[in-house]
Amino acid sequence: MDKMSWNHDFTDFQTVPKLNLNMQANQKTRQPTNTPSSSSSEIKIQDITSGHSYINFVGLIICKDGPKSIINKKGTERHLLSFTVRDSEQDFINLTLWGSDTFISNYNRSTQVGDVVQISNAQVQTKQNNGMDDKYKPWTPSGFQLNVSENHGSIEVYNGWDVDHLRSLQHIPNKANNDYYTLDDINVNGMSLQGEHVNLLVAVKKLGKVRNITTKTGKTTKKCEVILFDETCANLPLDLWNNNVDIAQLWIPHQTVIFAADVKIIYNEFKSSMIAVSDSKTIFTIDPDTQEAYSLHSFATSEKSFTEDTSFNEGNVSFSREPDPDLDSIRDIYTVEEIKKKAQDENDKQTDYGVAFVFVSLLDIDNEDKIITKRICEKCKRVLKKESNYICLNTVCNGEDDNNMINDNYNLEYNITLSISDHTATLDFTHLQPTVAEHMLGFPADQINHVSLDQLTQIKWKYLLERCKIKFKLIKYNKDSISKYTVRILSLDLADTENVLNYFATQ
Amino acid sequence: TTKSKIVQKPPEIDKSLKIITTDIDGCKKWGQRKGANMNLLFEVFGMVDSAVLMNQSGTGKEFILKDGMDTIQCLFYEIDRSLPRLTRGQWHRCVGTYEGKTGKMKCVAVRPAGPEERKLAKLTMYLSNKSLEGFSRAISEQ
Repeated sequence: MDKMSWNHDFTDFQTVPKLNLNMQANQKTRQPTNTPSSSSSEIKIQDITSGHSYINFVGLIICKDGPKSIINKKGTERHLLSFTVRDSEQDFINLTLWGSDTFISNYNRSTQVGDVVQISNAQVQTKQNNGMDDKYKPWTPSGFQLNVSENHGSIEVYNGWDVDHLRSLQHIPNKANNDYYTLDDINVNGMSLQGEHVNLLVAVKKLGKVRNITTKTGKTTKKCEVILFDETCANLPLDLWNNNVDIAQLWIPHQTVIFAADVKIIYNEFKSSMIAVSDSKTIFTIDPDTQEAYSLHSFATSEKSFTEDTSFNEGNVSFSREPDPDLDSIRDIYTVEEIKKKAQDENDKQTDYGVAFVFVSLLDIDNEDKIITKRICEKCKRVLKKESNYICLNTVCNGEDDNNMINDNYNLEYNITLSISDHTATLDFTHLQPTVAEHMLGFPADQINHVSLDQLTQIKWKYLLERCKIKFKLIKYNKDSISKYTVRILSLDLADTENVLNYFATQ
Repeated sequence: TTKSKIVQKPPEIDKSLKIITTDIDGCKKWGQRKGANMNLLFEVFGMVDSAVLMNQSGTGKEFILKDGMDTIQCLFYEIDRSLPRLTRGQWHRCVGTYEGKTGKMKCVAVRPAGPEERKLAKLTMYLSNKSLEGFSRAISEQ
């Protein structure tokens, strides 16, 4: 895939005066103005030419990747750390530090993103024209890259007078101000972005727990999921790995704004939605110093952003923009009365997750007159209503084929509500997640016509009035300035008696 | 005179259905409380202590359920499924309402019960009772 394709698209962004990142243009103007010296001298990144062999300069670390190791042709293992260093709004360059295992891990501990460093005797290497050099590294506007090794050259913390100027660079995105996707853009483009690297301007909604993971090759690494949002969409998961996990620990929900350059967009089967993943190309700019970022920040901190979690509404609660946490992480136990109290509490606007041991007291699936499925637009996953002839009303979606009187491009999904009860109360109209319904009924929604009512009655009595363990999501939202709530069942299984016993014994 | 005294609204009492685990005695006791507007469904564990017979009108099946010293007549209407064969002398779980007029338990679900869930029932009985007492106190204060 042509990962350099942004180069051709970049003319779109020329209206932005702040950055001129056009590499080819820059290279043309970079004729050596003075006699290049092979000896080390203090230099700016933009003045590097192919005539330089070794250079010294001062810059800000904007990205760090590694430590990693590679086995070279001789069969010896070499260790490395990758940095991206910046010394002006326009200029940044990739640098690789090579050395022994201990040398590299010591360096890894002592340097971090945001450090201003003095780089000495870095070897200059001209990038290949085919883009291969940037394939697994952040994109840089420079035509060169640098190498520093344990035996030659150094990277040291810099204490000069011009540090403030360099520090301020960490809040300037390394891509053009307007070169980003809104989260709605990601949703609408969907699968066509699969595997692409894009830039995002987003606010942090939630930080997940850090998990230690052992890779197939036996290395340990860490992972953490962050939920992002912006004014167009309430939820996009971002998976962070390794160093980026550490960086994220300083992010504050509903406060931190991020310009994420080159995150990879992939389809996550488990969540059946698009998610973002950071990789070795990704550079994060925290709290960017741009107009758009300030505007997003004031949205993120406003009460509106807490309450306007309305990418769903009653009609299409299953719309796939709402990824939920791992079921295993849902542990708070509620009685039905407690769920209802929480739902009706005007002062508590938060979405909540919980567990409850309840009886299913209404499960109307064996009624001839009742339709327990709904049609979902194949393309955008919104509910198609009978009143609108099952035509998708999403303007972004049906633009092309609005001549169709009947939309055949739909999927069937279960649309079942049930009542749950225990010794404290009953809650009606809880929504069964379509996947949970399929699990309970034992066959997919589009085969419902092949199942007899008798079979459905049998399935019904497997759950009805039996003690079940449910995991639920309580969603609160405002509609016509009245606060409302929905409860969605994320999982439902017949309760394990031992399990219930242990819980009630603690009451 | 000013009528500016703020009348504090009593908190609304949730009168929705409760599913109460209890024994036969509790089922009768709570079931007989009338006027309290209690919307209760009982989960009762007991031994089937009779043969299962068609009732007089031929519309339902009847049997006797027994726990300790108490017995109750149970009635099951085969509305959407037939009553499975119940083994006399075995523990069963019945879910249903108490009919004040006839003193019978009108069951909607009947099936054999395992020892584990009977053990669990002892706990949930206690919790159910506690919750019901609180509820009936709140109602009588209203």
